[in-house]
Parts: sequence; structure tokens; C-alpha cells
Amino acid sequence: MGLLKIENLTASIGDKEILKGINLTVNPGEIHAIMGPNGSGKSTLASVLAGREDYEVTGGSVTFQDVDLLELSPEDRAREGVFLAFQYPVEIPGVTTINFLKTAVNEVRKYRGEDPLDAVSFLKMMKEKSKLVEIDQALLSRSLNEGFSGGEKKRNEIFQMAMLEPKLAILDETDSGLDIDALRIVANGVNKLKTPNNATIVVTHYQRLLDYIVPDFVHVLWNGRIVKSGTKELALELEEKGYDWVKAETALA
Amino acid sequence: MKTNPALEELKSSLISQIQHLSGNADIQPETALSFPGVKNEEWKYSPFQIPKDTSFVIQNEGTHGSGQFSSEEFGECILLVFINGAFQPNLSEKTFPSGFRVGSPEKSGNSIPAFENTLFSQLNDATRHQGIYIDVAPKTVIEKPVIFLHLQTAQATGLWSQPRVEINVGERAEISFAEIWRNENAQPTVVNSITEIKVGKSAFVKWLNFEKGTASLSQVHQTRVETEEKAVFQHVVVAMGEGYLRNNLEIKINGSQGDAHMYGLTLGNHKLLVDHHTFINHKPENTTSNQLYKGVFGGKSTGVFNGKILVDQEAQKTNAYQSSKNILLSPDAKVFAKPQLEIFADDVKCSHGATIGQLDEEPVFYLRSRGLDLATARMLLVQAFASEILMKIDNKNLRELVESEVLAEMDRMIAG
Repeated sequence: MGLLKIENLTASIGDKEILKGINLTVNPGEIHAIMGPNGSGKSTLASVLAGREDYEVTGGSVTFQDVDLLELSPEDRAREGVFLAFQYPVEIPGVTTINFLKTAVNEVRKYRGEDPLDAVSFLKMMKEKSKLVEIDQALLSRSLNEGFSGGEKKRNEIFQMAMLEPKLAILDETDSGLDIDALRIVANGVNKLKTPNNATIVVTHYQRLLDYIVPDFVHVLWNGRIVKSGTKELALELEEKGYDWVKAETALA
Repeated sequence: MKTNPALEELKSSLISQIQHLSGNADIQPETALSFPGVKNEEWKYSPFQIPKDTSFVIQNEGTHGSGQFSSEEFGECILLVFINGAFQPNLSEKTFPSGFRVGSPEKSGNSIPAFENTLFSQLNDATRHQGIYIDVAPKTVIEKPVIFLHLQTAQATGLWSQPRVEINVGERAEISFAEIWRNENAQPTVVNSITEIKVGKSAFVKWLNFEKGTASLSQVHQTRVETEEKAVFQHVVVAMGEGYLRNNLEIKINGSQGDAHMYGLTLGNHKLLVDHHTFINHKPENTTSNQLYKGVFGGKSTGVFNGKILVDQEAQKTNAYQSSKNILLSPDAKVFAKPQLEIFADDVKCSHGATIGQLDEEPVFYLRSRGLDLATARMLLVQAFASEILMKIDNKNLRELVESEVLAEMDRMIAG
């Protein structure tokens, strides 16, 4: 049974249509990579799934565990178990990661009918999860992402993912701006969080990240459509031949 | 806004009351002065308003009630109580730490002239004897804050209240003060206060002004400060509630290497009109002033920040910074920000800036994408915005007292 089912999804920003009919099914336990050249619509797809209001969905449907995802507010999507790791995590002076995450974790628990975590259990959980993504706990008591390095910001995203235990994680260009060590740490975190019950969509421009997070499926997004799908070998082929090869093939078809 | 004839009538009523109270015809406000209206440049965004056209009574010392407060709510402090404008020694702390002396302002010889002569000053000067004078001896260090609790009590009529506080802090003394304003009068009330603070050489003074307005209240507060060499003065104002609120903060930095820091937090709700009017005069070389005023405005509230910095010709190597940052939560809220820099020295660093905007959408979306609902996300961001100012209140009891009222007001603003 599909965890996420996207059918014929179209979306635009202003007058510009960016997604032109996306079809994708993601099952529990799977890792999907969505690759494509800049401007192909990868980040738009991630944003639309998370409920960013800048985009207008003009057609199609998104079903998440039998729920119409597009009807839900961003917060209810998060509570249902959708998590977006931001390409550009925002800096919020005066709000610490611990501070808002405690509220977030308990909102999600409340939605699922679970009791809120007390301070001790929350701190214990935080300690465990911060080890998982190798993030310094001191960072978590500082203003969110303020003055963090690129790597620290992305690790913080994965840390939040670990805390919220989503069923579907969408990593939007999580590799951008990371050196190889940071990339490895972030990828390790994602791999450790993998279970047979959750799924991951990795949105990336480069194949590099996929050496560490090995996908079950690779999709090529171009001009608002998925034009080619395959297994991890497709990513290697793209690395070797570039995107022009897919573009040419699509034009011929 | 009330028409001028009503304010003219009010003026003559107040003058005759003052003459009657003091029995002294010499104490006579200059009749040429009027309450400032829109035509006065300094008051054009906040022309003086009375809550309602009625008669206002200036009480004499004998007729004050006791007011409702508990000294425990402020924690460890030196509590000094004013009721309806007059200092009440019987309700206040009676034993003071050494080096701390309390008397009448008439004997203070403290007078700091205002930058602008106004009817408000004239009126307040005439009842100066009802106020308090505090002398802090050189090298006195007092840990617990001195709190002026200004209560306006329930009346059957309109109330005109004129508190007066004069302070002289000696060399190397360290002390912090707080003025807390409360109104229990449902009848129209005007508070016309003057606070004068002299900060001696190398002294360190912190000031908090917590102003909570009500719909029936107009407040005009003048705070005048003079600082000497190497003195540090910090002023924090937190303004919220309803009604009309005008703050004039005037600081003369008289001695070199003096520092003045001014912080403001305004929460505008309902029809609150707040005008923070600051005037900083850098006189000698090597002095610093720093101003940060933040505001969150909802409902039909209006905020004004007018920051004037005057750098005298002798005041080389002055650092003067000024910033006003505002968030509008409602389409009917307004903010006016007006910097005025008058610089006569050539080797100075001055900057000013003002921002007015809605709450940023990106952080709101970020927090919602983690499961926080819209109201909680906005609340958290507004709280974070305000915390920079609240953190300047070092005294834990006072900070918590202000914070709890600030959070409750923010909740109401975001829900509304």
C-alpha cells in the first residue's frame, strides 16, 4: 500500500506553471531520489508537499496514508508525519531549537493521541537524537540557526527530523553547501533513522549524496514532469552523461 | 481628538485648582502656553488627548486613598508608593540602606530644565512639593531595586495626577530604579509626570519604566537625565495597554566617556497611541548613546518613535546609534518613525534606522512545518522579537513581572 501517492499534480507560482503533471508513488521502507537540472521543479515539489503557501496547486491530487494532503495546513501535514528538511533553514533570533522543538514534539504527540513528554523525557530523547546526528548540544540552546555553519544548519534539520520521527521525510537539496565530512554525517543520520515503516524523498542536483544515502528509485524531473525513472544505476548514468542526455531522449520521445 | 476650547477650559481649571491648593498666587503656569496639538511639530503625531471631556481634579495630599497593591509582588526591593500623584511615606518603605536618603524635591536644588518648555512642565512644577527627592551618596551600591509604584485610585470624578521624582546619584554609586504605573480609575485620568535623574561621575544607574495604559487614561511622562564623566545610564521602557501615552526621554551626556543606553518595547493593542520621543544631547568628547525601540502593533493602535540626537561641536568622537523596529499585526495599525540627527562635530559615528513590516512569512512557515499551529508560531516569533528588550531588565523579579503581563498581552493581540 502506498504511503504517498501523487497523481497528475500541477502547481504554479503567479502565472508561471512549474509542476506540469507529477505522478509518483512512495511505499513505506523506500528511498526515492528526485534529480534534475536547476529550475526543473524539484524544490517546488518539496515545497508543495510541505504546504508552502507561495505555490498554488492547480490540479491533481496528493494522498498521504489515505488522507488528502493538499487539504491540510502545513502544521497538520507535519503532525500526520510529513517532514521537510529545508534547503535554506531559516535563522530565528531569540528562538532556540530546544524551545520550539519541545512545543513541536508535543503538538505532534497530541495529534496522535499521545501524552505530552515531560521535561526529563524530552531532554533524554534530545540527548539520544543529538548523538545520532553528531550535533553539539550547546548549539541547540542557541538561537535557531543564527551564526550556524552550513553543515550545522543541515545537521540541525536532520536532528529535528530525528525528534519528530516522520513517516515521510523530504530532504530538499540537503547536500548543497556541505563539504564531504558534513555530507557523510548528515547521510549517516538519515540512514540511521531509516525503518521499514518510513520513507524518504531525497531531492538533489548531484549524485554525490546518493553514494551515502542509497536510493531504491531514481526519478529525473525536467520541465515540471518526471521524464525518467529507474534504480540507483540511473543516478550514476546521469553523473556520467549529464542531464542533456535525458533532455535529448525526452525530446525524441 | 478634543477641540481646543475644551483643552483651554481644562487649562484654566487646572491653574485655578493649583493656585487654590498651594494658596500661592506666585505659582502660576505661564498662561501663554497651551496643550500641544497637531500644529506643534513635536506633537503632530500625538496631539495631546484627554480620555473624555470632563472635569479633572488635582488632589491635595490629604485626600488620597490607599490603593490596592501588595509589597510582596515585587520581591526584594525598596518600595516607594505614590497615590494619585503624591508620594505616600506611610505606605512606603521607611528604613533605608545607608547612603540612601529621602526628602522633598523642594530642597533638592536638582532642577534639570526641559529641552522644551511646555504647559505639562509648568503644571507639574507647581505641585512639585508632593513628590520625592532621593539622594544616593557617593560609592553607595544598592543591590535591590528601588521601585516607585504609581497608583491612580478609583474616583467618582476625572483625576489629574502629577507625580514628581528627583534623584541625585553620587559618584561611583550603583543602583537601579523602576517606575511601575497602574491605573484603577475607570473615570477619565491624566498622569502628568516628571522624573529627573542626575547621574554622578562613574556612577551606574539602571532604570525601568513599566507603563500599562487603560482606555480611560492619558499619560505624559517626562524623564530628564544628566550624566557626568564615565557615568553609565540605562533606560528600559515597556509600554502596553490602551489610551494615550507620550514619553519624553531627554538625556544630556555632560561628561566625557559617558554612556547612555535606551531600550523600548511597545505592545500596541486596541486604540493605544504611544509616542516615544527621545532627545539625546552629546556635549563633550568621547561619549556613546545607543537606542533600540521595538514595537508590535495590532488593533487600531499607533506607534510613534521620534529620536533626536544633538551632537555639540565639542563632542568629537561621539558614537550615537538609533534603531526602531516595528511589526504590524493588523491592517489598521500604524507606525511613524522619525530620526532627527543634528551633528555639529565632524568626527562622529552616528547611525539610525527604522523598519516597519509584517511578521516574516518564512519563519512562520518553518515553525508550522514542524507542527506548530499558526497562532503558536506567530506568538513564538513575537516573543523572540520582544525578548531582546526584556533581557535588558536584569532584576529577575521585575523581569518576570513585566514578562508575564507582556505575554498575556501578546496572546490577546495574536488571538485578536
